[in-house]
Amino acid sequence: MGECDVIPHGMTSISMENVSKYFDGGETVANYRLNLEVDDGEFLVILGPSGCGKTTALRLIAGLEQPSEGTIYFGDERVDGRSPSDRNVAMVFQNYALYPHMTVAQNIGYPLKVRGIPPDERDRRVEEVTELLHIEAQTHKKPGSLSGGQRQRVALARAIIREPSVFLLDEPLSNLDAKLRQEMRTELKRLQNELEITTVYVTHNQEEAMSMADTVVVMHQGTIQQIAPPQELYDRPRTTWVARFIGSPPMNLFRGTRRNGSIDIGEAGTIALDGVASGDEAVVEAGGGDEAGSAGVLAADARGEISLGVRPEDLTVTTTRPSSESVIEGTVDTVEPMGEYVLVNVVVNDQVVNAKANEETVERGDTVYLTFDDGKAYLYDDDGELVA
Amino acid sequence: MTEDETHESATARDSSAGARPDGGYLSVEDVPERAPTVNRSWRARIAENIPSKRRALKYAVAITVAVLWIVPFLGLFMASLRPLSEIIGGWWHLEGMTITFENYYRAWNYSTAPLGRALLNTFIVTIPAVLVVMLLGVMAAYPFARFEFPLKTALFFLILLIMAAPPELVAMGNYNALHEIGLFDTYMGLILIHIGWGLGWVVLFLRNYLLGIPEELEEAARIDGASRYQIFRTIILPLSTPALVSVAVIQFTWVWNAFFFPLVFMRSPELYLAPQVLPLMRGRVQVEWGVIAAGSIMTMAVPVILFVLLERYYKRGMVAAVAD
Amino acid sequence: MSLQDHIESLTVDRDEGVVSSVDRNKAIAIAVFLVPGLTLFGIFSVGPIVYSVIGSFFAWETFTMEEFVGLDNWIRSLTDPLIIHWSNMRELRYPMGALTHNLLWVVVHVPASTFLGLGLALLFADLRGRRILRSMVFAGFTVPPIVIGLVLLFVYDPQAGIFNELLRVLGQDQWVRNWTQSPQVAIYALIAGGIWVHTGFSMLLYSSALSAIDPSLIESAKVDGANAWQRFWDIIWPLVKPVTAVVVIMGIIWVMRMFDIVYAAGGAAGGPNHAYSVLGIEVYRAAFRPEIDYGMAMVVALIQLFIVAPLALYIARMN
Repeated sequence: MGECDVIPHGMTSISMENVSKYFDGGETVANYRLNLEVDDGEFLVILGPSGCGKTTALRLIAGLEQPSEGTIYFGDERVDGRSPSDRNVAMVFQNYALYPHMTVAQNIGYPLKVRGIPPDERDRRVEEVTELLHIEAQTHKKPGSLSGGQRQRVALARAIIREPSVFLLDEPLSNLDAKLRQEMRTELKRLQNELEITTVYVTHNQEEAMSMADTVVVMHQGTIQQIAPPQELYDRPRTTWVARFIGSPPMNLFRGTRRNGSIDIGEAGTIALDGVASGDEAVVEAGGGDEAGSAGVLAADARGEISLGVRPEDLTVTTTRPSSESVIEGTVDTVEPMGEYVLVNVVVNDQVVNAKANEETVERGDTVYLTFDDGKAYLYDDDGELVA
Repeated sequence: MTEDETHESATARDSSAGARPDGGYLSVEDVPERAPTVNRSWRARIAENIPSKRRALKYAVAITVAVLWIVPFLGLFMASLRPLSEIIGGWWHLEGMTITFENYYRAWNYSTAPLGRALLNTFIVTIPAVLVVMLLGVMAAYPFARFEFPLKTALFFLILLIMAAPPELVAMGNYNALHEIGLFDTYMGLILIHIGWGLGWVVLFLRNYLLGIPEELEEAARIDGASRYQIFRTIILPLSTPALVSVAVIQFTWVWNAFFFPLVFMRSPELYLAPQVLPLMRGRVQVEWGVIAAGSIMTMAVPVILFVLLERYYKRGMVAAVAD
Repeated sequence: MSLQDHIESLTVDRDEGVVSSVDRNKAIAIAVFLVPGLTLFGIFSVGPIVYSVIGSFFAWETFTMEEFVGLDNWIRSLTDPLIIHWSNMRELRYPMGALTHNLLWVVVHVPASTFLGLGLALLFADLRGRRILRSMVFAGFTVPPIVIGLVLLFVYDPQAGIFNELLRVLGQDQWVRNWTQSPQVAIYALIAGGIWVHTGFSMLLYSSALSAIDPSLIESAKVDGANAWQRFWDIIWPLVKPVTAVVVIMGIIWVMRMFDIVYAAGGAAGGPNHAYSVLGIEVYRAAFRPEIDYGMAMVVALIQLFIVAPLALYIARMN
């Protein structure tokens, strides 16, 4: 008894196949051909800016929306077309959706009540989850008199009490203040580890995504941009859009022209390509076999527009011209001390480039030289896709 | 836990502030619980609380207007308590005033149709008419607020149109219909007419209210496994209680006050409703002001008391019913 | 390839099967919720109105529909002096016909109760005890209208009425009369009574609109140096203006439905020689008092609807 009871019995994988969702009779495309696999017990985060269709994707899994096209499976069972109550999913809403007219205990016990579970059994399980979430003291209060963090816990308790096979969270932390958010993040992660429920978590906050997820799905304008573990997402953003979306301040992109083994980025300098390419080979190997050929393609393709991406933390700012071949020259625009680091904004070819420095060694107007480790640079082709 | 933390940090800051002998910073404990009392005479304090001349004038005007507004009802009340001779001499003359309950007694037992019986009849008609309208109204309002179904817009406009229609418009058809089904001149017939007539505004009113209930709550309930009927019973009904109270108060007042429908559909004196009886009391030669006044007071007491008790719901409902 | 096709055909079949189970449950639920209410609404509200529309084109033998007569009822009703009395109108003498009386109510009562309502709402807006003050003014609206009519009879009574006493105190004895029974002035006496009752309702609507104004707007105007008058015209009035449309339309609907007050004061005839009869009274008399004329009753009731219908739809469109 005890803890054991709240651990779900039937864990479930989720798979979405070519799922699209249209609204207003086809006028609005919320999701377009989503293909997504979530493993048993996995913590998957769908990350994207507002309006990217991430919430719709979650609601499709929940059964609150039915797909316009495509199929959804829980394990081997096809669930699209089924109502939420037939899917054994639990969901935490952005505003928690606590029933204002019920006490905390009644809120948490509601999923059991509508399933006809007898009151004494219900009370016992309510007691268990309230203990698990440290809200025993609040059980007789109404949601209106709770703090944000407590509401959050009640919503979580209501979600886990019936041992769902899938646990869905829609921006659950966005209404909390920064300190509480940090706390709940840890708590959520702990809970998920303990219960091992397949979890889909929607957020626009990349920090939440990176810190909690086993796998992150980045969405943009209704479609999936990249599916990867957090570190890989940071290390190998598949497109310039993902590259600029992940990381703060965003990755710098230098537009340039490829010319016989190097990239010309105008007056600011020329970057030797072989360095970048060879540095990338290591990453390619780690990334997977089928992309290994792309470095070769790159070397062979001698011309064309290209973008070079370097994260601010990977740029080194110096006032004296280094001997290295690949140097970008620019003028310091502003210097912002952030405490942890100093953000130097450098103008390179009329474009502002962010660089993180350790000390405030430069000032406005200085001519500076930017260098970077070849292995930490990324090349994107004309379509914004990662080349190597 | 958090309290301890804040307390700790507070003391930490105290010590640092205390380290500054010049007192550049105040310690948290220096802030008083309540404003320090300034030495002011009671005279000055009273003077502060007296409104300015302009404002005093405004109060005077406002109170005068409000009192004048209810003078006719005061007169009615006075007349109900005084013998006819004193009423004819003017109820505003207070000298030599005789207080009598004779008028109430006579109205209660009025020969053509005793008001006591009529008030009972009014309750018999009003209560079921209100309860059924509330239940059917909130049921019908729910799909209007949440679902799409064929003819929804057309129905919506039809209801609106009928809300503006005069009750006279349905009298002829209902007169024949009630005769047809044998419910003419019965409680049930009048109750049904009131239900059919009241449903329109109740549905629109409750629809607007239900639109304000976050859909998220229903979605949460669906995820929790509730059926549509369970959602309606356990989420929608409890959450619409304030609106249902407004509906109850307003619908009660309208049905209770209604004169035209009973006039047309209730023909046997023993079935007369209270508003129907009052005009009969005018008498032939000399108007029996005392009896009319007493009867009026008894009849209006019910909705007025209801209004006083549930004023908030009544006003809010009135505003919402027309403004939304 | 063929396997792929096979799977696809399978999924299509299942698609329809499962999706419609959700849809069917929903459709059943909608029906369960709607049908009881809409049935009663249909039988006792929509049905009789349709019946009146149809019946207005038929001849009637008391309560029985006879043959189709086209526009006969319409022409007969609209030329009836009880509805519009052209010759009296030219001489500005009452009765002028029920329709004319109703329109006179609209023209006098509606603007007066609207302005008074706004005025009282502004007067009470920031006073302590405004709830009680408002309730005193509004109370009349909760009283049965038939009682209002009787109260008016009482107020305007030549001996017992306080209005005539007021005239006597003011030394205007020549005006003392039984106001509700004097054909040429009675309608104005009743309209004054209507304003007295209905102003509370207008005030209530304006009060709620006023309290919805963000106080910081007024404060900002004060900081900007606007005086009370400017604050009213530049801030308050534009913000409560949309409510005025609602107030006016509700006033018109209330006035067009006028029945109880007139009946209490003047009986089923609508005053001596129909001096202040209204359309509602004419419907009642045509339908339920001898000589029964169902056709005319239906036509007159429809005229009442035609006048208010566009207003109701206007309110609907505003939202």
